[in-house]
Amino acid sequence: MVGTFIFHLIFGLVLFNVLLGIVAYLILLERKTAAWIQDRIGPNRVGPKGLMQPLADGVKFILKEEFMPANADRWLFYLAPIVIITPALCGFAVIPWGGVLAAGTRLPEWLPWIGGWAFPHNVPVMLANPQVGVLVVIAIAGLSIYGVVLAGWASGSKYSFLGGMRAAAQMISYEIPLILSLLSVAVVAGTMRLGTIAQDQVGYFSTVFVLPQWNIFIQPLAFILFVTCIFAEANRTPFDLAECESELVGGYHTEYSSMKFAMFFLAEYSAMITGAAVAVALFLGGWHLPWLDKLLYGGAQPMSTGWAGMFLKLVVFGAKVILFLFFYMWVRWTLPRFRFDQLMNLAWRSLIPLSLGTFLMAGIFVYLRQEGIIEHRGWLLLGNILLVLGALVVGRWLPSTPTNQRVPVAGSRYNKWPGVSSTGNA
Amino acid sequence: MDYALAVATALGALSIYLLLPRGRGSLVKTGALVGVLTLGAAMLYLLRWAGLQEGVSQGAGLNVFFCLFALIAVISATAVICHPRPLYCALYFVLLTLALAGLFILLFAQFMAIVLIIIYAGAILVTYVFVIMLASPGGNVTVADYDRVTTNPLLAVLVSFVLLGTVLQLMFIGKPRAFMAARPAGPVAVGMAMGHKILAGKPALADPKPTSKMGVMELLGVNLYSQYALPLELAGILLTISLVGAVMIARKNEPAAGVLGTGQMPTE
Repeated sequence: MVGTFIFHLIFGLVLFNVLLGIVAYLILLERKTAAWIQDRIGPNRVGPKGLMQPLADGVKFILKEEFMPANADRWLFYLAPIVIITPALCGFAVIPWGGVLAAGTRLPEWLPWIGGWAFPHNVPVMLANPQVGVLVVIAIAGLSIYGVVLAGWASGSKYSFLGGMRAAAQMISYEIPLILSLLSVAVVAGTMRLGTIAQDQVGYFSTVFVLPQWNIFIQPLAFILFVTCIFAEANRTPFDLAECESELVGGYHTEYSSMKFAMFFLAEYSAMITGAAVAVALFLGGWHLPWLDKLLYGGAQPMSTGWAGMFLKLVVFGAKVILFLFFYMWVRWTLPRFRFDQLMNLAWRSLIPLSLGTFLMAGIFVYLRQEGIIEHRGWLLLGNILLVLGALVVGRWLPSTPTNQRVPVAGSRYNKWPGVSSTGNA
Repeated sequence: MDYALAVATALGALSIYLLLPRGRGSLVKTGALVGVLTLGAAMLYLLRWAGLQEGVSQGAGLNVFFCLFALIAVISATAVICHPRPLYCALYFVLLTLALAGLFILLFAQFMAIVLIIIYAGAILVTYVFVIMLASPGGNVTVADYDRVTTNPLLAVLVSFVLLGTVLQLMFIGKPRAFMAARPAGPVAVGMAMGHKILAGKPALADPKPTSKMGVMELLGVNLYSQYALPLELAGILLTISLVGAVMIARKNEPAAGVLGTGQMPTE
């Protein structure tokens, strides 16, 4: 008991610092990615190949002037960065980073204080594996709205205020399909523990058809919905209406400077990592190393492994997370931003009905499996395909999206009100 | 009648009455002092009362957290009704929800705790904050009088604290209940027994048999969909009806096709 606690304490400290370091380098990766996509070179001055750039960025943040607008609400202005960073860092706790460690190694005797202490058997390499793991992810996503909204309101500036309001409306809307897509995965797995769901995906469709049994191949529609929603939750392009530079200067963090602004930045990238890690754990097979695990273990990758197995899992999980983060950036620098009504229509008119359908499919599948009619999870893939086809057919008969109509305006140059001259003085 | 409890309730009423926002001549400091005294007295009372109970000392570690969360909850609940600025009230409500979630976790009700956060903090209060922000200007602006001053503090405090006092007197009558004590096995065991009884005659549902490995979530699911299936379905129907109603209310009155596009002349 105490041993598990100490292991988790050490693991938590290491994890926390590693992740903060990764966040710093993610910003560099983001700038480099942007440069590649825009055919530039990107930051290359500080250190070899620009690798010390995050350090320079950090020093610059610290040296900047702390500024507070005269019109700001003092308390909330200080509170907002704290409120935004806390849930962003809480999400790491429930991510299953590396299965279960079953080593029981003893530390050498000469170490001070902890010498001779043995690692406990079968300790999960995650900070917490609560029964409500998936719900914890959802709760943290829900709490992360407050920082954005408070920052927008407390700044006492119109740009910030509009940014905050947009963020609130957007995050509330996209939370619904996010929850439903997560739940359709949890329902099929029959548990809400992220570690168990990750372990559940280790395996293949069949011995002949060796496609990994990951949820992305079982419920591709749920995966697409989930990815769309975490992009929107993280306020990133094409959903970054809350901070869209061409309309709102900087959006909700317009008035923030120095380390308080850095907190917003840090929170955004931490939320990205959490989102990517949840996507990997729930949809991309967690720590499952596809195909190679047959060579290494002669079968499916086991849940509990020794030190080498744990590090292999950590590396596989980390690699998948980094690839997913690169996908985030790729999307950001490729797709243009939505208009706000398009954003809302996307959520309410397509994502929510589709996610309800996905959830219904998962429910039907679980029922049929319980009745013993179907056994293999591949049937759910068929269900998802049928759902997409059905949506395409039904979509033709639905009333079309109300688009912006041309309304004649008195005094308008391009859309005149009949009988009124363009100067407006009829 | 428990006189110590009655005095504590009266003190609480006095403190809330003093704390409630009024236009000028505010008595916030006095009210806060009385409130702190009340909280101290209530805490002492609770500790003495818990000390009478056998086996409470086992849960001493839990009781520290209980006191912490309870303190946060009481203080933030007071702030919800007494803070002069509406936005701060809503934010204190969020804090209250988090503290209550902590209390639920101490009661081994993880599901309740997380769902409380998701539904209250994540959905309802965000909407509140949204509306309050839209209604009141941002930044450091003073709020209008009608938003700041309680209309009828005396009557409100009297009614609520008479009710609270009665409930407290009833709760603390006789032997202390076990809700302060740490009893993890209690609710789980009851739920499992119920699950066993229900599942006995139903082979179709018997696949997830309630075992000692079954967690809170599974037990909750088994109970909801067997013993409480009808209330659950009724709640679902009610929610659907309210959803349809909300859509009907929110629906814009679309103008007929011919009318579209006749923009109004500006009045000036």
